Amino acid sequence: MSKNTLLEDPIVSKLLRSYSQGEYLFRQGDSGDTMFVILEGAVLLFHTQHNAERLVGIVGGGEMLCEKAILIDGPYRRSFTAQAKTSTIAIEFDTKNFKNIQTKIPDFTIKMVKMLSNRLDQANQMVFILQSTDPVDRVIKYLLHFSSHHSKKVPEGTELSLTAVEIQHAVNLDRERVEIILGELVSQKVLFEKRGGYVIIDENALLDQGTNLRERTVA
Amino acid sequence: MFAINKLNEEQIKKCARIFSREEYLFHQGDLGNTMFIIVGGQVELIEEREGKSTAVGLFSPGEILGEKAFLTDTPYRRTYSAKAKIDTSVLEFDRKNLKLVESLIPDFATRILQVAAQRLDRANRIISILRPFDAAERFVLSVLFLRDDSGAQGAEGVEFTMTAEELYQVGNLDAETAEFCISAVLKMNILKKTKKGFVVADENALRQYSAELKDRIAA
Repeated sequence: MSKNTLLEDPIVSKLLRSYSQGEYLFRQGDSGDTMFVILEGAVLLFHTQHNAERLVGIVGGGEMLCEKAILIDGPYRRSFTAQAKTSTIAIEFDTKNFKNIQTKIPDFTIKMVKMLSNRLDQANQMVFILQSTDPVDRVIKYLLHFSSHHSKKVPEGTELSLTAVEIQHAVNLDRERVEIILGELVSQKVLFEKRGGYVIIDENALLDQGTNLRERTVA
Repeated sequence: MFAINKLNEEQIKKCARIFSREEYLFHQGDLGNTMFIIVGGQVELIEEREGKSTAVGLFSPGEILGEKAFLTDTPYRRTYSAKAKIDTSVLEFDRKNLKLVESLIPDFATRILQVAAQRLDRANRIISILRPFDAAERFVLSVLFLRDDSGAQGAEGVEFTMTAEELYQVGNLDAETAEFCISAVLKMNILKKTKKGFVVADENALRQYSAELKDRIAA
């Protein structure tokens, strides 16, 4: 979707929103019936539970937010807070406008469905990871999952820009547990810390270490 | 929902498929870029993992299956197997038939986006159920999920069915834990048995009860 063609379109331009850095698109608990497609910039997603706020995602250009709006007739409560990370341009629309945009932008629906399908794939992998009730297993599966989606090949192995805190939130473990598991993996030389992230030296060794670690934790 | 009578004989010949009971529409891992609309019968979606087959969904007349394969431009590997649960008739389409599909299903674009959003929403809800390591907590969340997902208003409240199989699929609970939890909450009058299944008699007590149940499972 090119921004310029969209800006010129009278229907779409009415739905364009721009946010400066730090500005909120909406807050958790707000009532709304619209979804957003981010055209430029990036949006941070926060979730608050038991009075603790944590970052649960970052959404960039071309991605969509609040697709749940298309399932619900009328307003519903936003389940997270969205804040512009940088200056951001988005289209905001409800189900009625969705039909208008569809006729204006060829392949709009197909693109959106593909985006949702990718997110569904990732969500299904998360389901698979969380089906394990073994902490070591969860951490290792999550490292491998992250490695297959957001990693960078480096001479020493696969670099993940992922912190212990992020792992802790993703697999729902306490800080201490995650650090013990990561510490063990580092001391077994299948993993090392680099620039606030981790490098997996050998994915097969990581899987094997999982089995070892589990047996030792049980023993 | 869709107008099969709009199809002419040649189109029907091209798209209609009949499957007998137990026959597979496709197998997990097969290549295929087609989408199915169920006309009559029932199709079960099956996940094959580590030598085990688990039913992960059931499709009835009017429902769409394989929309992701349909929207993908490159050869697509089926992520699940699909089997006719009873004698079943379907229409099978590929992207070349997009126009035809659009004429058969009013609001096809919106529908397909809804299907994708619904599946993502479901996966995300299952993720939040699976996060706790504690089985009792997962049980409580699973009960509320099954009620909200498939319950129907009855004389005594929202009635829903709940089997050990469903509790395994949604909350990753083994049969023994599932039976134990069900009988415990029935005894405590938190859940009530009805003609068609269960109703939640005391939601607050149910939400608070995972802590107490946890102690009992441990004992």
